[in-house]
Amino acid sequence: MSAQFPDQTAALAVAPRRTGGTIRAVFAFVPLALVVAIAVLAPVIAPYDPVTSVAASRLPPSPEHWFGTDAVGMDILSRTIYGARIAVQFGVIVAVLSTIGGVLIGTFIGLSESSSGVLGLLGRGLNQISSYLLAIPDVILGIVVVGIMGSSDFALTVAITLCLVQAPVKLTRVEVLRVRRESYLESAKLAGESSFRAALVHVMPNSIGPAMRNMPLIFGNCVIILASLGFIGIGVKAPTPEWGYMISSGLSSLVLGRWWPAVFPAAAVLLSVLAIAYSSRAIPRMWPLLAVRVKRWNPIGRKARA
Amino acid sequence: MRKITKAGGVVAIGAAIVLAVTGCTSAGNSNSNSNSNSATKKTSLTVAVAALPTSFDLDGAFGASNENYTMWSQTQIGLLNYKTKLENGVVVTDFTHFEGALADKDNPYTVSDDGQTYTFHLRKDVVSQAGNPLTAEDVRWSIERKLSDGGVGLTQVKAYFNNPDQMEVIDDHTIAFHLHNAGNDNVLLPVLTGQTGRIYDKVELLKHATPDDPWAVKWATQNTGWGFGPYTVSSMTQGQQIVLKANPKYVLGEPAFRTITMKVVPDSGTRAQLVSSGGVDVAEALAPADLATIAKSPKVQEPKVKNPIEFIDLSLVQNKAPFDDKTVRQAFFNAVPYKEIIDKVYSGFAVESSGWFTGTMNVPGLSTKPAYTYDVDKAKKLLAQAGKSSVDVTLSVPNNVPDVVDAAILIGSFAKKAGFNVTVNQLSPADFATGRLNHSFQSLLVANRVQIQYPSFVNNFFLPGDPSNSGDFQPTAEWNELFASAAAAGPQTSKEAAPYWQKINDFINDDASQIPILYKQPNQAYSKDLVNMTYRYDSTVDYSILKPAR
Repeated sequence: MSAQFPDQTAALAVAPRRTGGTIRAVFAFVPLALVVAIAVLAPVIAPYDPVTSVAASRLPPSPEHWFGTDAVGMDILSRTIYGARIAVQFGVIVAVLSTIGGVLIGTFIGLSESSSGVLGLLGRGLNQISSYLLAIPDVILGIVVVGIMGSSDFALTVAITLCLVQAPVKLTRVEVLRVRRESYLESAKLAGESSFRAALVHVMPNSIGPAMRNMPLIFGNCVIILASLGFIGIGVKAPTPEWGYMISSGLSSLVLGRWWPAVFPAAAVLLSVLAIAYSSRAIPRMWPLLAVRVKRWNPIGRKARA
Repeated sequence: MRKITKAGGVVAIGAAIVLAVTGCTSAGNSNSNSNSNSATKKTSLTVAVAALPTSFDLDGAFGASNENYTMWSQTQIGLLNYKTKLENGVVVTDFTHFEGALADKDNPYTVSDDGQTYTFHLRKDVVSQAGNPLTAEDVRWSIERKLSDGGVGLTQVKAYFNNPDQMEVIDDHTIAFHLHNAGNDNVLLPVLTGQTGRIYDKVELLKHATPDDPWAVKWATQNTGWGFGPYTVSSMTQGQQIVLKANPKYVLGEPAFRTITMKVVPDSGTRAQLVSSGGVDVAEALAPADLATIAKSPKVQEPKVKNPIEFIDLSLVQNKAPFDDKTVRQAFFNAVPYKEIIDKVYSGFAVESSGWFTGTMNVPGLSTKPAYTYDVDKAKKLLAQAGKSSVDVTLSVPNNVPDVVDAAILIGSFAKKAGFNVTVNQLSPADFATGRLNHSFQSLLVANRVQIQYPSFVNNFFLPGDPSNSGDFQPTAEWNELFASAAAAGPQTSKEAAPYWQKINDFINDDASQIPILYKQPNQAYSKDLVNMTYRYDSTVDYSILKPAR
């Protein structure tokens, strides 16, 4: 599990200084926005209820059913559209949880691992555990977690978060190791600020950049892992329109010429992941601008500066 | 970078699947050519199966899978066989007539005047796959083994032999069974004919017995060669294939096909494609949609029968809310879209169900009217009577049977119009079997079959504590009285007894706890180069009677 992120200086160097660059950066978010819009507007744009049998089974694509129907007569277009909703729901929740969790754990590890005592031991232990989990393939880890917790949306969320939280942990830890050498931290300490407050006010805001920029990657990876788990039969419960399950249940008929039940959801996975990947490339260009605004708005930071 | 790699991985996997499938197809075609070249001397078959058997011993590890049934019936045999009849090119079991298998061909058994003693006369010069001669002691020991193991599938045997003393070895080739309850409900002969009546080579099995395992159950689950059946297992590569070799000393004559190679092809669509392209000679366990797709293939023939006995069993568990209320159960059965399931999921490879009693049982004049039909208004009305307007239901299904999963999804889709919010709980076969044994489900849908097509045998599915009693039915006084009346009314296939069996069928349907919702057609496809497609009590292929068409 690796993630590529530029450091703050590099990011600033490529920051859009002209209006044209900003517009291009904003436009880069269009594919991601499109995926999210499909998810949000699914009830409006889907022609049929995705979990109701609306026609004969296994109908090929036609003007009535653009993507055909599946083994029980459900409209595949509607299910594919609603599949985006499921993917985005899981993607957003997992991305937020992983990033928040990763930042907190990574900050703790970065600040504590070199110290002595129980905290140091705990920090080094967490770092080791994170490294071990990072070495386990995502789907395997997902299978184990769902196997232990049982199949449910909550278990899937925990499983995928556990798979994807390791990247922000490592990214934040590295940043914290860099930030903690900054002289302003020494100044804060001399001014009498507690370690906890220094971590909250100075270390964390200056270390979350890479983890924040990694969020879309988590989103994209979540879509892939969710589809993978659905494909092997431990994803969301049928007949929930989930892309992986749709591909899995449609794959059998592929060799007999019924291609549409598997191909359309597979294309949806591919396109949405590519869209998320494309949009995430704009993050490094946009982040410095956003970071400046966030720092200006941050009430804790304002108070500290005051 | 990572996501690009994964996206590329998805594409690569997709391409790999396509290439693999294409590879299979090509391989299949090349096999086909070689097969047709050697058609005149064909003595071997290649079969595409969904999985390998998990046990070679019914007594040791009961697991009612298609693969296990196939293996048990191809490696073992009992005292009797059902006679068969040819219907539309299919060799169909006649459940009312018997012929000697290990018992003498012309005079298999005699019955005492009081109907309490059955004396079987064994064939002479019969030897087991291990080479040991068949004796009456083998028969006695085999029945005693079924009683002693406590196997869950052998309650049928226990109903007749609750004490080994009921068996009397008269001489090396004669054995008598003294029954305690013979009468019009007697199903002794079917019990000795199907899967439950297999006879074992005592001498061979005892070689592998240990103090901890006096019946050699552990050894027998993993080894063959201790039966009298038409085939033995030559080799098995776990997860890939099993090879059967014909038993040259088989009592009913050496099978025409001396080698059966069963290759595991987990995907139904691929199995169907293989048989339609000539890559294999037989494909088992095909999904109905795949059967329909290849039905017109010039190389394929599919058995269809008038009275299928394999069914989809919907159980609403009586001791679990909300199905502890009979009215809610009836409402649910009115919310099941029977016709839609037959049309959409089974593509016409199924027929409506009037309940537990099938045409094969030969009870004259039994109603063929469906037990229930889809009637949303009636379902809502019944729910209202039960004081409910919306009910949450968890319907558990095994995830390895696509048609059962799809049927459950369709039930959920249609039942919500009546107020049932159905969650389909897909479980691995192992988890499903465990839940079924533990009676932990609220409702379940499963493929099942009544292997003994006698009206009174239906009682076997409603015995308290029995795994087959999926609805946790508790016999009532009315139930017991109905069965006693039916048994006293005369032979089960008589006109006199028929109204009583009809009453029992109506009682079960009204109770709405465990009812077959449809009967499915056989799920195999054969090459047109073969004759003697079979439809048996266990719905498996009988490879021992398959022959080349020319």
